[in-house]
Amino acid sequence: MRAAPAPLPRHAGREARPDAELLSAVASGDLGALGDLYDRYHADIWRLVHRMTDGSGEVDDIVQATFLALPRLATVFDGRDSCRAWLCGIAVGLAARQRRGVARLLRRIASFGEMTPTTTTADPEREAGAREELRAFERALARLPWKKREAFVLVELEGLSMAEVAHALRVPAGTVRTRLFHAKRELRQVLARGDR
Amino acid sequence: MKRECDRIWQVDALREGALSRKDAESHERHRATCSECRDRFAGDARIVALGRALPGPKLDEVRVRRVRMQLLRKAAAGASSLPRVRWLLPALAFAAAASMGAILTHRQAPVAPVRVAPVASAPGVSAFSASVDGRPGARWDQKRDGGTERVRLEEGTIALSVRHQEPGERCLVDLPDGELEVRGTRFEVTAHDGRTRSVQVAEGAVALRLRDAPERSLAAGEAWKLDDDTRPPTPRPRAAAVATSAPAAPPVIPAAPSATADAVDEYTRAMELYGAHRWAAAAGALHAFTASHPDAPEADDAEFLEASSLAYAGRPDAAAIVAEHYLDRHPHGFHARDAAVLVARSARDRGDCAKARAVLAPWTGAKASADVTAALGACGR
Repeated sequence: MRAAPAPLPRHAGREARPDAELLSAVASGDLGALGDLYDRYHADIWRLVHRMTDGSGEVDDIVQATFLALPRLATVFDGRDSCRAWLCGIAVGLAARQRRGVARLLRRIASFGEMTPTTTTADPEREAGAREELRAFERALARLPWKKREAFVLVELEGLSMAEVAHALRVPAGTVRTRLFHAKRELRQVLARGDR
Repeated sequence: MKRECDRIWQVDALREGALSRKDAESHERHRATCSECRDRFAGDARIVALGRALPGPKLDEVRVRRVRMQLLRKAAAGASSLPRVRWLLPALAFAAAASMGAILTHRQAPVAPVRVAPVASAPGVSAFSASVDGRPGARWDQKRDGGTERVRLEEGTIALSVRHQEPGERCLVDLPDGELEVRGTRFEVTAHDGRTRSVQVAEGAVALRLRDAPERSLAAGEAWKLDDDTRPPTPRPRAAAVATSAPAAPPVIPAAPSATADAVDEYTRAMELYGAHRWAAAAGALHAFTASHPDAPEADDAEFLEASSLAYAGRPDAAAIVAEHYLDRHPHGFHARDAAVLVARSARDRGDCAKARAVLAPWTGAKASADVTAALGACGR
């Protein structure tokens, strides 16, 4: 069985309003409800965006944009108990767009000036302290194609079910399963080869 | 070649919690004796453990509060777009300076927009599925034999509006040097001096088969000219596909950060239609989404799901054309095999076994799956 995801920060010392109720309030312009949803889920979304973008780029902007999209998207939420998976879907979509925009711009600059697009630099302190296998895995995850990566991160690291991920990404569950299968196979192969 | 353990799939099913208790226990007993399943299980557990061990974001109270404050301020102001990359302007300035010479020396001629005149309904041809509007000087005729309708173009330009073909129906345009197969569309074709000169598609899709040239699919907004014969078809501005009254393809809306929420809305609506099995509406909505947001991460899913919707809607030929487009754009995409199945089924049904076999070649062989074998049908024997 899949291990439970990391514990999530939840309301402390305050009566929790259901997500659907908060989203309904957000849709009608209640900024307090938006703040409550941010308080409830910001750590999840931050961690997810960090995992999807290697912690580089504009993580804060993507987190902010995820919640900023809620007043507009709240009406399409289907009313289930938790909107966490749905928020995750919005966040990975925004991260993908940001990534594509940045990559496109880098390619354009490189083509103009015949430069090589630079990759993100790792934190030297973390590099030095990390174990070799973890570093290899981190690189392999970073090299994984986006869709495989989002399936792996959402299912295996964030602990969402196939159905939740399918719903969040608006793709059939079989597609998620296929992506996850390929993602894990590639990651296993990298580790088995001992790529560094 | 070593054959994979028949029960290896249970490793994933077990992790998903999809096995019954009895099956799970059975698999665990099996794993104790099967090194392959054991290795797979351990390998999966290892990569998940490593993933969870990766350092997370360093969230401090100030950072969290700063973003919260900005969020609420922007929400109050009605902003909804993804903030621009902070170094965008300096980078663009650099790019502009670096590219000045290149821009001056590599100016491309503007691409002429596709223009298709509105097709008039021809009186007295209601028995036909195609309404043909011949331009001055055009020589053409039209006949129907059972479920097959043929428009023969000898010379000049004709514009056609063809209703969707029912199962068992075909509509073909005989050209001096080939043929066009139509699957419900609006397009214009020109022939001159025994050669097909151009095809411009306003709606739907056509398959162009010319002598001594591979079949090519043209979708809404695409054009082919004889001069382009050595080049691939023009990039696909698909925005015109769902318009039913506009005479020419509207401009494509480029994807931009500000379009993010629109894209999410559109895709959500399209998937709701898909989930509700409203196949024709879903196909239209998915097509419109791909046209408006060709660079969106969901675009390749949308394109395949459009093909899938068309197939469910009972339009296998149209599904095949869209699926073929998908394969052109995403030859190694997640849906490549399923798209190839759609293309192969259509090819098989019209007796084009060579094409059916070719498109499924990567997935045939000793381990061909049941759907691949079924798609080939008699063509596989």
